[in-house]
Amino acid sequence: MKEKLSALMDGELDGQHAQRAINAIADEEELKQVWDAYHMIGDAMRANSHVAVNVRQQVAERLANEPTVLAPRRWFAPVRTRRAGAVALAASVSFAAVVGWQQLSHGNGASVMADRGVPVAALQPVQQHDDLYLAAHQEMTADQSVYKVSYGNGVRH
Amino acid sequence: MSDRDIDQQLVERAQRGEKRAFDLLVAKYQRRLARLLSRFIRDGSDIEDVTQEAFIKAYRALPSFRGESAFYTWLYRIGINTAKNFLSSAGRRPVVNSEFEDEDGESFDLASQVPDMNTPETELMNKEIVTTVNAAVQALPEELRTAISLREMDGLSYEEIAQVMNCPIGTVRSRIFRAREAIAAELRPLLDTAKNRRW
Repeated sequence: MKEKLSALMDGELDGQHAQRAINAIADEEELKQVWDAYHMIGDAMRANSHVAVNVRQQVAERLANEPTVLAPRRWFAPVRTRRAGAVALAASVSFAAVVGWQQLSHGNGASVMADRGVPVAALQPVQQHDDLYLAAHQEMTADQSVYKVSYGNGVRH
Repeated sequence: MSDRDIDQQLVERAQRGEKRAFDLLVAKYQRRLARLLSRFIRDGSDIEDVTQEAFIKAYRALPSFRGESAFYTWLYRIGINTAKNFLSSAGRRPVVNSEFEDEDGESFDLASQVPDMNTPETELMNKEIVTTVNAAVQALPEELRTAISLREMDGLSYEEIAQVMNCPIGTVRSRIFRAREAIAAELRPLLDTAKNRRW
């Protein structure tokens, strides 16, 4: 456990190992002493001229008389939740990218709907400029080959 | 888990009522905070008093700590304010203002370097600890000495140390641990004596 403690204080222990190490240090007085000593060694090596300062005992005695702090859990979503959120977001973005790519990859052919047997009456490039609205906004689309698609029995939209 | 993450974990535990988690933060930061305060408080015993007071204030203010800055940055601000209040109530003023920049690059308004006025006993203890640690470091086998120095003095990660020393990360971790244990073994008698004497 001491080796894990050493790695923990160097920021080299991850996840559950780190959690377990923190639990152990908080629970065992001997490990607390080790935690203190290892930090003191680092401070002494960095030439801190106040390595002898030790207010732990006094602070602990005063805190014993303090009401216990109980802060509401609010500002920090648990790491697990945040990770799950990130995974869900990544999955959504991936899904949207795949669907979008599939749609775009059918640029000149029949649409997905048409592939599935939905009757497609007309598929005409906008370049004909017979629809003023689409023609006017054609430059604003990512894909310049914008198509109008009519579903049903040839009824133009 | 980064250093900041570890502090965050300890803070959250303290916020849930675990005073022993706060004790670990005290153990970790008391010397660094004292060194910071020594920049504008001269007397060694005053430095200890203000350090202690700053930790108590930090504990009371824990519900308002939202993790927007690193814990030590927040703690340092509390320490500086506590020191200013102390100097003001004692009718003293910080000598000259100067800028102090912490490890995050945040600036603090501070007094200039003030020579320490530790008690002879504290001064002796400081010297004994530093001398013991330095002697223990020098007595380490070269690979342990290099590993612990690269970590503690140069702040390199295990991966970087592994590259410098051309060895696996697991070996770095083991060397640093063994170095710490060897130094701690030399320190222990000194700390036990000090505990009986003062702590």
